[in-house]
Amino acid sequence: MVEVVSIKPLLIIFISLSAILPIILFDKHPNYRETASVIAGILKFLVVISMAPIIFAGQVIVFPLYTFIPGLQFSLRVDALGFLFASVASLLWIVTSFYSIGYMRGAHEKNQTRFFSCFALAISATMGVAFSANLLTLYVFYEMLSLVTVPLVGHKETAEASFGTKKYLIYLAGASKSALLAAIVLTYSIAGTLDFIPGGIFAPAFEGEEVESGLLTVIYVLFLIGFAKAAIMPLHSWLPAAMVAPTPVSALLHAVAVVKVGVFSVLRIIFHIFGVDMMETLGLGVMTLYLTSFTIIMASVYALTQDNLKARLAYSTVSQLSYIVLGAVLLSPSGMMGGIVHIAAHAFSKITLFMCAGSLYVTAHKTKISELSGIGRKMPWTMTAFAIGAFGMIGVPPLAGFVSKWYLAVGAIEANQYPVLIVLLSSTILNAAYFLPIIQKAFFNNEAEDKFKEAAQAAFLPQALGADAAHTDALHPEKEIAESSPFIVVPLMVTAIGSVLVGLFPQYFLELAKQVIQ
Amino acid sequence: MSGWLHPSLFFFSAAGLIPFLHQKARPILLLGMPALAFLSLLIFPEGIYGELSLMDMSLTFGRVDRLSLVFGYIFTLITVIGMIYSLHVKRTTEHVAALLYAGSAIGAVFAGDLITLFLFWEAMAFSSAVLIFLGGNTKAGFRYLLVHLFGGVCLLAGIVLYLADGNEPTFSAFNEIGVAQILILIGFLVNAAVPPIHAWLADAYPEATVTGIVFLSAFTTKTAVYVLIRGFAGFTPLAMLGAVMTLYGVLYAMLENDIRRLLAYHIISQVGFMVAGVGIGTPLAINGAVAHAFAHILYKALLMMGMSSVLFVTGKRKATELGGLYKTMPLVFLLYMVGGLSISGFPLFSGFISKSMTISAAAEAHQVAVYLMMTIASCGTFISTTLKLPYAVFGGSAACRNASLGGGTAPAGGLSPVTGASAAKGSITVGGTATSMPGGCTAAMGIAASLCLLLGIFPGLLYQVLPYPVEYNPFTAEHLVHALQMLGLTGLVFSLALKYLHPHPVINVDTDWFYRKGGALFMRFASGPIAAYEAFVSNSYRQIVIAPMKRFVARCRKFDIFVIDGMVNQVGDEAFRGSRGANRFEKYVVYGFINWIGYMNHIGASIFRRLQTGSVHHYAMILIVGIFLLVNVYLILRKVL
Repeated sequence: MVEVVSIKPLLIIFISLSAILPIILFDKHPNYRETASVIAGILKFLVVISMAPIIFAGQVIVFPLYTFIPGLQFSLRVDALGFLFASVASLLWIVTSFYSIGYMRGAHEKNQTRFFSCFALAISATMGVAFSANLLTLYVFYEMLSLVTVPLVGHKETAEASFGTKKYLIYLAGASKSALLAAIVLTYSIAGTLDFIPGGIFAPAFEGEEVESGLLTVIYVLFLIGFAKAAIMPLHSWLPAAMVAPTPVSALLHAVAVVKVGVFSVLRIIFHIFGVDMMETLGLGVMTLYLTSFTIIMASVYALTQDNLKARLAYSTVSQLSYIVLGAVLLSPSGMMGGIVHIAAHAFSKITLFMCAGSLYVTAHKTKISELSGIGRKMPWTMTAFAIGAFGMIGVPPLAGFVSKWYLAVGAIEANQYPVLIVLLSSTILNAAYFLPIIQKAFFNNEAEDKFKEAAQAAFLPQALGADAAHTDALHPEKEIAESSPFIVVPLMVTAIGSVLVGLFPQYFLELAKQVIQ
Repeated sequence: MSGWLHPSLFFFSAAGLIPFLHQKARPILLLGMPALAFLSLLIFPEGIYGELSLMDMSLTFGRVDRLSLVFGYIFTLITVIGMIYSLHVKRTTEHVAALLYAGSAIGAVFAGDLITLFLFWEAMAFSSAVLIFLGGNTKAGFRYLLVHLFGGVCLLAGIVLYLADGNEPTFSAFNEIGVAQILILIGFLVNAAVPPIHAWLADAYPEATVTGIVFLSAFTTKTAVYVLIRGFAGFTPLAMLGAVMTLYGVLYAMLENDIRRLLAYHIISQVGFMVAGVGIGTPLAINGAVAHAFAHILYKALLMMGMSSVLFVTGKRKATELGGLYKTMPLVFLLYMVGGLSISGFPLFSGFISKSMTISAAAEAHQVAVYLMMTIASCGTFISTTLKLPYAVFGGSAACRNASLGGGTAPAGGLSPVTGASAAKGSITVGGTATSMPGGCTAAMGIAASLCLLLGIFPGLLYQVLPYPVEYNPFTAEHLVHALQMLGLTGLVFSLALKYLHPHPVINVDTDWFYRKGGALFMRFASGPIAAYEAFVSNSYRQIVIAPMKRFVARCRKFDIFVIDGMVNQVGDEAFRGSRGANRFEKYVVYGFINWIGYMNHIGASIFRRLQTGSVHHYAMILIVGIFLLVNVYLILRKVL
């Protein structure tokens, strides 16, 4: 594999890092401050994309920074997997920057400077994880991400927010400090290196010797626990708790950046620390399959019972993240492709859904699904985007979710894991069962009808009389709800269209995924 | 797509443009595009078109052969008729959904491979669900959609397994029946509404909009028949399954009181004829199935349009609440009867030329049970669709005295909850606002009726487009006598048993009970045990991490207080005590010594002061004594040393 030395990965991390300065300086000039965010986002994306020719040529970009002690380097490396993740995250950062403007101003949030600077920091850390050349570098950025997102999660500074933040920090930092660090130290002591190498670093370490399967299994489990950001059950409940954050945070960080960092790290472990062969030898793939299958079904079933829109989306995210890990641990080419492509497919669809939830909150002040009757006619763009995102999650062709679902299903058969096929397909039906009622309510139910039912139930009146009540209510509607501001609507339409495009033209992601599994 | 234009494109482009058009310009597109699609089918020759590659697989969007063309003709034709019927509808969503639905059905028919088929299959499910959602009963729509997603999922699983066996994605007759083929078959059978997975049809179709049901009754089940012919022709279990369907549908139709649900059950029954034909699998049977699908789409649409018109004008959907409408809606009544005679297979009506083909095929293939069941079902169909329902709705029976046209005087309490809800929403215009049918509706019914008659009188028109060459002549003496005999006897039975056959206001339990209750049970399970489990897991970090940590901290505090603090205090105490001793030592010993020295000094000073007499003699004396002493000391010291 040809290595090209380039400063670009470092530059990418520094662009958003240095954006903090103007953001803080323009504390009193929101328009300039947000311009800085947007410019940084665009610049960053351009630099990321400029690496595409090298990556697609099958080469990698490296940039060593410095050596701690011989064998432990702090260095950056861009390969297909990291590039895929970085390109998705940096593209969606631009969109979210616009969205944040509309949302934060629309919701009259305080401390916006802190919000925007922490956001930039979080993105830097995310890029750092994507471009880490070894576990040590990854660990540093991983921890940085946990810390800089804390002010974002607790942004509202209410009792509820502080409770959620506490849980968030205990789960993420607790897991990484205890299990992850231990796993990294053990890995280093066995393999003598922490570099990400295709095919894994354990296989060469046991060259010609008998593999210490017990120890390696322990290390693997420690990694799985340590990367709690992947939200594999039972270490998932930080994610619903983190929903107290403002919606742009939930959208970009808790549907794309933070959770994908967790999943991405798990993929790194599977592909580049253990290696596919070692995973197969140790039988770790099957173990993880059951764990992720359980997560997929359980989270979906639980999502069914949630009336809070963001909570339902959060549980859906938990379920969908496990798709990615599940694809990887199928260890069959199509399965791994499906898992990797799902990083992008889920990102576009879920960010759309969260943005729509935010739009509903800012404009209509609605957070519960049961209150959404007829909202589709008042906020057609928001709800259309929501429908597209939801169809993407269900995996309706030709949206993004279908591509990954297809590959996952094929991969399950290649790996002879028929139960997984059943899990995937029943999850499709469960997804439909918790997303479709929202769309149905928004477009086809109407408020008067709901009130009519409520009135009839409340007063034990015959429905005929209830109808009069409904009519009077319908005659005096509450304050008219109209569509959100363009700053909110345009970004969510863009991501919705993005999810369609990913479905129609998946070649870009498939090509990258192919390089990863080579 | 060189030299060929996918007919679905006409529909999809119309669907895309309609929302942006002025109300008055819409009919041009609504009628023109399906008509153009129909013409395009007549123009382009058979062949394979529209090959694309997606996800490493080559897809074929246009497989044009005799079989797909027949379905293409009737699908485009019925869209034109359905659009004429729904011209008065103001809601663009309904038009868009109908166009997308028709376009996807046509896309499924021309799909040359399983993946393309699946794409359109799913699109069909979603677009058709919109027509049901718009009817107002969203719960029924939701159930409909979930059942179809289940079917879609089975189909997808089957396709994936089928491809994994190393097969090409091309959609042709399956040679062997394995797990993959069974899954695909289940996916098909869900759409064909084969019992026991048929309940979605009777559950959801009657809840669709007034005009939506015309499309619904045409596409979903007939696409299923098409794919069954394509993939499973001659798969014998289907013959029996189809025969059971014919009876099952009729039986439930007999018991039904909702006018459109009654017709929906007849769809199941009629599709049974086609499924049975697929199962028999001989060229005659396949021809029969295709011909019957063709004829059925026309007359079922006609019947549905008739009953939808009744619903539109009166706002009522129960047979027991209706009656005497022949006076006010004579034209609808007449046209409905054309449909009724067609579905019953009356000679010179379209059903006769198609249904008798399937029944003859069963007889020729010596499937006696199938033959008998289908014959009985035909009688049942005649009774319930052609005699009983029109008698109750259009006839002047005593039970219908209070039903009046316009419905304005009807008590609101009489409305079913669903219709009441729809009324509040204004989707189905209820009595009082609509005094007569829009002209388009009657025109559409007229066209459908004349097509029924046309096919019935000139069966050659239909026979020449069937997939296999037809040597069948429906108008033999034997067929005619058989049909007339059967219908005559049935009519006689009906007139004798009239009072027992009258509809009753009851709701019949069908297999949808299972998934309704099953769904409710599942939700209870999800919000009970599962939610409790999740709450436990979600909060377990407190028990597992926080609580032990707190306990640990409490212990540390105790250790801190009792051990470390204790030790420090001890040291402090000791130091304090020690300092008291030092204090005393200082006070008594050090200060005492200093005081003593001072005192001695004082005493010495006073002694010396006395010595200072001021007399030289004294000083000299002392000096001498001193010198003397010093000398002595010196001498002593010298001796000693």
